[in-house]
Amino acid sequence: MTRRYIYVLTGITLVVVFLMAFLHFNANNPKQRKHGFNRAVFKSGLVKLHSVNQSIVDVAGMHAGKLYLVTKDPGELLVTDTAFQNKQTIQLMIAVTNQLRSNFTTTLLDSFVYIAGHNVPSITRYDLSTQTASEFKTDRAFSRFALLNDQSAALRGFNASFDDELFRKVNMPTATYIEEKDITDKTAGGGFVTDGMLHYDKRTGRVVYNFFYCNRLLFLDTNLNLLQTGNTIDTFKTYTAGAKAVRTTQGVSYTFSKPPELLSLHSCVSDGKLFIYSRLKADNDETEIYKNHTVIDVYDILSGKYDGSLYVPGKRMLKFRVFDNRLYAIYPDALVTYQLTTLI
Amino acid sequence: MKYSTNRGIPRHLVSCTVNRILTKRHIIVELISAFFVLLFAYTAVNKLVTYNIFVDELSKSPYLEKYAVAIGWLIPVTELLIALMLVNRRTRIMGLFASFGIMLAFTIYIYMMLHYSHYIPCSCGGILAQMSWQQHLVFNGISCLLALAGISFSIIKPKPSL
Repeated sequence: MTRRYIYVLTGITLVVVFLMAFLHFNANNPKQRKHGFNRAVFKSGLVKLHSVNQSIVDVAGMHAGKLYLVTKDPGELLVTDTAFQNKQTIQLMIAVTNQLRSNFTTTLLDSFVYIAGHNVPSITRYDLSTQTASEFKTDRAFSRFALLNDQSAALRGFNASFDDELFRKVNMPTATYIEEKDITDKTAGGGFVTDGMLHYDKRTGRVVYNFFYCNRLLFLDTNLNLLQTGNTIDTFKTYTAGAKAVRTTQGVSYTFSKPPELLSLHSCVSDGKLFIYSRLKADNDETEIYKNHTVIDVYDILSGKYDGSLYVPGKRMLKFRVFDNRLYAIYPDALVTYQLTTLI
Repeated sequence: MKYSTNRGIPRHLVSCTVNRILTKRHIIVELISAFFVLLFAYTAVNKLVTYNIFVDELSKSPYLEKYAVAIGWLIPVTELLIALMLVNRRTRIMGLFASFGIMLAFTIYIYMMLHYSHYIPCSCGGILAQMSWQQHLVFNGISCLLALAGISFSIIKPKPSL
């Protein structure tokens, strides 16, 4: 009798394992297929300088030789030197609400800290020398923020009908907006499909946007006129994501309609270069090296051309920043600095 | 001292305790069955009430996107059938085997999502939506063990006392 039950149990286990194996091998898995492009790795790329066990979410910027680190609390900054020898915590005298905490970007410009509260929605300018703050309320929520100068910022946020996203420039003292002219593709799903990262490069004076779900790059002037388009080295010309609006009793919400294939995780700009943290394995990437490194592809912002790639040790990097030819890699519980040795 | 086991507890006492547990086994089986009846009834009804959201979430899974509509019906209907099997004493053992099978499938699926999937959507609805994928994995693993315990207690009989 007991033996019969053991057979039944074994049979059930085998059927379940077989079914799961079937699902696994029939799934669309981008990790297991070739992507049809190659990388050119910089021969001498990175030299590790310093590391510190510190949980941070971003690097706001550098000022007077000091590095300003962003914590989970938008009202708190850690200030340290580039070797992480001396650390000091600064409490910003601002009202931190749950809406602000839920999604914010902190950027340093000289001695001013700009805190963009994407869902508030607002941009707070904080003067570190006088410890005073002034808040500018934007008219719509935004998903991406790039500070252009002490008075204006480029935003990617909802359009007037709140069903898609587009680029806008806001001038904070005059509370005026400039809207892009047909640059962003019109898609269903509240802008999910055209999502990406927005930056401003001081050296070239260009606003740069790289898409998460296709290989396009946009280069705009500071009035959001399209100057040039470019492509990342991969071959995803069409969007790898689909999204739709879902109407519920609580209103309309937006969601992906199929599993999106994220091509890049993060990016940043520095001194005329765009650095993209790619999620795609190139056909010439050695599997073992790729498994143990984070790949950053570097592009020239003026020409839009691919320069080469950097391999940062470890796979757990969340995001990174580049200042003064130094790469600051942010891990879940550590910050590591690398010197960029190649002329990038 | 050869007759003692388990840090000096005499073997006949251990055997007596196991027997005592086994005589109460029907209560344990009732409790385990009740747990699965509540779990499956709740999650099945929740999935059917929010059917569109459930299918939307399934279609975002790299493993299930092709079969989302079919699985959207198959899972809650199967869960309700298992709950019915568990309620009826004559079919309870079949219900426990089926509970083990479905919980094993869920556990392996979550493991695959966490370790091999290129995208992880939101989890299922109701109270269980409050759990992370990792917490879900642990919950489902424990549920598998509970189903196994239920099966064991249903089929192992106590030795007749001397």
